[in-house]
Amino acid sequence: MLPNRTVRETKETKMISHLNVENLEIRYNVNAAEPAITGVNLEIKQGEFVTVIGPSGCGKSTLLHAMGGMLSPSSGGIYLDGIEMARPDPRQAAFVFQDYSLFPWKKVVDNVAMGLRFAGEDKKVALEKARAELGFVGLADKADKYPGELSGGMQQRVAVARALALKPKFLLMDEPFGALDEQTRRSLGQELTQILHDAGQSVVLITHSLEEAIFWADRIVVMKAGPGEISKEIVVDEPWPRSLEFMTTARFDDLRAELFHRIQPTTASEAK
Amino acid sequence: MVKAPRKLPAARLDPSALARKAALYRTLLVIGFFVLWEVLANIGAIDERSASKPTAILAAFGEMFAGNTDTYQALSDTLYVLVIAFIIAVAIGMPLGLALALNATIREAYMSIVIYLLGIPKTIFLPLFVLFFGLGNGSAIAFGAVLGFLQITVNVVAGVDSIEPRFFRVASAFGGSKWHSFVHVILPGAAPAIFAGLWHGVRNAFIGVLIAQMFVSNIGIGYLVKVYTNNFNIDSAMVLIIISAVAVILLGTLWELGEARLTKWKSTVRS
Repeated sequence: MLPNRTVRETKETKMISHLNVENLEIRYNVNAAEPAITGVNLEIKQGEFVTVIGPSGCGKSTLLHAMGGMLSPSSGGIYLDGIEMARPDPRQAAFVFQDYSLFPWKKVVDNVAMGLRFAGEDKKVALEKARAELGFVGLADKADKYPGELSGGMQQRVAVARALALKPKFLLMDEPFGALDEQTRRSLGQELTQILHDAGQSVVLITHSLEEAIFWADRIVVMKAGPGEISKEIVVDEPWPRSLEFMTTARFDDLRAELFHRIQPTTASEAK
Repeated sequence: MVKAPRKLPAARLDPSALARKAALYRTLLVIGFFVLWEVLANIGAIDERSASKPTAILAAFGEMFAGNTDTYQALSDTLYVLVIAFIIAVAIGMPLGLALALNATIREAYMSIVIYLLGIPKTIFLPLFVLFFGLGNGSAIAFGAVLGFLQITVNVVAGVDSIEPRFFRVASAFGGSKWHSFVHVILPGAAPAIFAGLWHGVRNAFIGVLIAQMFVSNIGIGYLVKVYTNNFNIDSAMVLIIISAVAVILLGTLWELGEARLTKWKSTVRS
């Protein structure tokens, strides 16, 4: 079990932030026949847990990278509380990547403190905060290890701690459990998403799994390929905390069937 | 009948036991080499006047370090020249390597020249060094520095190239500036290759210094080896050759220990 933690600044304790994607279009190449994503409009409120699902190549990761200021829009824009996200600002939106991308040459605690140090935080303070965040994800005793000494699941927890250490308004997770085995993926996913939800952390999570997309979401954003667009938004009104029993309900089956059918035609057209 | 699975020998599982065994094998080979050399010289199978023998070298070693100040002077001269040559090699090789690795235009323009220079035999240019720097320390320093910096440069480039792009992406995603990327990604990520480059650099600088001292200088170990050889004082020449070889081996061992300490994380990375 992960330790309890004081609820972060949530929509109850602070002015609600909004991440707005407005008419977003991204082209990787100006001469490309079609953009990677186009006409994307999306509003995410602080405290929401949004999952994004769609076939390969539909632009899920492109959308996420743009939301975090890692990609410049060809047209349209990304706005956080009305201010354009022109470049990465991890205190506003911090990433968790699929491949963890922990620096193997830094100890776990230094990896977690990295963003804080980049933001100009005093080294001692940054390390204290990093240790606290490692405690939050249940890895306090691994602080002085190197990432290579940890399992894949532990490394992903460290990556989550690294992002949370900056107290971001939005957490952007790009298939964070995709590199893990099925059992770890399920248990770690359930554990972390529950704790993030309890803490009122706003999350945008990319996934390929229909079950994950439904189980973890307050809202599911479905994308289609060719070019990448949002085809549907589905609200999942199941109350939190969610138990695995939710996955055996008729409501869950209905949602999975709907997602399956929404993704299938796009996949078929892609295959053509 | 089912055969019981064969147990693995402990040495295969224990790296320190394996290292001890390997060290013993190595020592036996070296001792065996010197014993064979002594025996072959004593029975006349090899010419003692041109190849010397271990006991004669040992006797010469005592004489050379007992009262002969030339030996100490030569060692200190070579060490001084080597240190200066290595400092120059690092001062040129490191920034040049970083510039080639980090700037596409500079790489496109100059990397091929560095590769060509690395490939061609540099000794052929030694007379030109004499023209530029004169006989003596100047040529030895310059030649050692040239041999050293090329190795450092290519290793720095290879080291930076070996860093996975995802680490730069993470630094950027977490608000890192170019300076942050340099300090937190490039330098530590390329550190193993940079260490290798510095080692190759110092080794090549040493070769360069010895060659220059042999042919275009009148000081240092290289010069003394040439003088002793020309005078058929092979025992003394062998003493200096063995000292040079041992110095490189010791330096290499120390280098490895230092590298292992400073890049401890490398042993934790799974392939």
